[in-house]
Amino acid sequence: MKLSQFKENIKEKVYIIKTNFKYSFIEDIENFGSDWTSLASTIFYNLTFILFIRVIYAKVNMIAGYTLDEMMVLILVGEITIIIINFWISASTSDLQEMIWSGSLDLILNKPLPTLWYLTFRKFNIYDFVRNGFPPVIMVAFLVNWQNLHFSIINVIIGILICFIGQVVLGNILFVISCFSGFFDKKGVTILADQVIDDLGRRIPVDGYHPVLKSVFLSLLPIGIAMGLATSVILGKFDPYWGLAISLASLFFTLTLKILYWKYCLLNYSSASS
Amino acid sequence: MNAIEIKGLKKVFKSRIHKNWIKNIFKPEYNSVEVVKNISFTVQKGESVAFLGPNGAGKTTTTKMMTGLIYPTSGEVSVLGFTPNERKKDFLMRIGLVMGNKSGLNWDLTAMQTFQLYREIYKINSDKFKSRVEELTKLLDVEKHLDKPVRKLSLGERMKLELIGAILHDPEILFLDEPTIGLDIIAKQNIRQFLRKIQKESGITLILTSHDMDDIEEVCDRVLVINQGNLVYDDSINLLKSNYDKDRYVKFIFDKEIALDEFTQYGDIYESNKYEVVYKVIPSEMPKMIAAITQKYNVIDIDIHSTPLEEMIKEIFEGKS
Repeated sequence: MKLSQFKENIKEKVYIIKTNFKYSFIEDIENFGSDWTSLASTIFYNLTFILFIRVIYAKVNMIAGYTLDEMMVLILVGEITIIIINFWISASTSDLQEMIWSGSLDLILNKPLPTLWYLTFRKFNIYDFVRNGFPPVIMVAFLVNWQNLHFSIINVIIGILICFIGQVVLGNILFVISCFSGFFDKKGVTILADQVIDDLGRRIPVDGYHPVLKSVFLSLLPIGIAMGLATSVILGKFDPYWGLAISLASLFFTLTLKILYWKYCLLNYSSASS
Repeated sequence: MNAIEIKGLKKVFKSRIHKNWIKNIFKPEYNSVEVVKNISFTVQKGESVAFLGPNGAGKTTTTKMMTGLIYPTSGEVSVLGFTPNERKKDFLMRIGLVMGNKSGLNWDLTAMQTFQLYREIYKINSDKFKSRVEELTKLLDVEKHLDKPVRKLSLGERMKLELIGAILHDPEILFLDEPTIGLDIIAKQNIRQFLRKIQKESGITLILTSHDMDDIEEVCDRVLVINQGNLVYDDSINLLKSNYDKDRYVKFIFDKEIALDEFTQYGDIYESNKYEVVYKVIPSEMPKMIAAITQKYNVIDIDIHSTPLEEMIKEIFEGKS
């Protein structure tokens, strides 16, 4: 590929993100008045959860090698992960199955666009990000006793990077799951994927699922890299370079899987009947 | 010059037979359905061609293979010199697609906002975009609906705007899949007239899939009849009508229950129930038959139809002409 062609591709992709961002914002403004109660419910949920953690820590000093303040950092990273997932991954992926089943994907596939890129950055929940995302993050950040923690700047920078890479990894996996359930009509996987995408498993019941599925979808995927590994690196409990290497390897693997799987799905696409 | 060349096109859909998961992984078995069987045809630039056929005939699948949405199992498809399923940007810039029961317009945005998005996707010059939107909305009389959120529009208004969205970028081929489905008579007529006008004036190639015979008569010059995946007829619409639309179907509705035996003397009964009887007659015998029945019985309504599509297809299959 020529350099000019490469530059043109990058320009086009940035342009798609910019355009989708703009139109997501316009769309969000239409729904300005709705769902204000979710802010109250998110704050109430977080307060209850923090209270629960504090009650447990009243009896013990450490859980799984984490002090109370370290646990609060984990909760903070978790909260940031959740709001970014809701802002981007969930917004772009959650109705992908529906688009495949209803055939509205046809009207995207016939546009002169890099489709996979377009679908990955199709929508952003900007308004939800500002309204429901920020307040709980700020609240948790205020509740961490920062003076009791010691950070290295390298660890923090790499930790934040791992957190973002982890979210992309999660996005790739959820995209594959959505395609799997959408293109090949696996409803069981769809429900599970919805739970992971929508609420990172908070909208249980998931008791009917096999324990392995539960562990993978509700713990390992959501918290594995973006939350667990990132927090361990930030707190200096895990070697940052190894952490970065693991997350980059996961990124490479899941991105390759996503691209190949998308090609396979298009090859087998039957398009919903008219 | 050919806009579309199809040679030996075939599409087989496979669906997995569900067994236990181990067998599904290691020894999967499939049901195969051959939806399109060895179809070949060409379409000239600027032609207006209809795909006709009953549900499940394979017409939409053929259209989708021409637009690159689905891959053919075998055969060759060339549209504007491109292989559609490669989905090259230059190809996608030159085609448009309208699907009657699917919406390309964003529900929460206004049509104008979606058109702006299309302008950016198709890189349409700002002045050209403005004049094109103005011209097309005027033609379809939807100027006043441009700035309303799409969810607040009626089906007819939305469909007209969908159509505008599909041709904003001035495509060389427009694929239309049931564009008038669910619309009222006036909206249908507006859309048909509009399509005919743009086809005549801009030389766009139209590929129309429809169940509605009136859509086809008013918009297309040529018709391809597909049934059970086979191309069974390929000729001009006038020839189809002169060959197969020879009978009229006359329905009489009575004010009280009828004795069917009394009605056999007036002609061939196509179908009937307690209050209705439908005759299949040649047009020249129609006035005599209507006069005879209306003089003797109390008729509250008479409906006259041309040959239904299904009948024409049946006749094509039976080899009558």
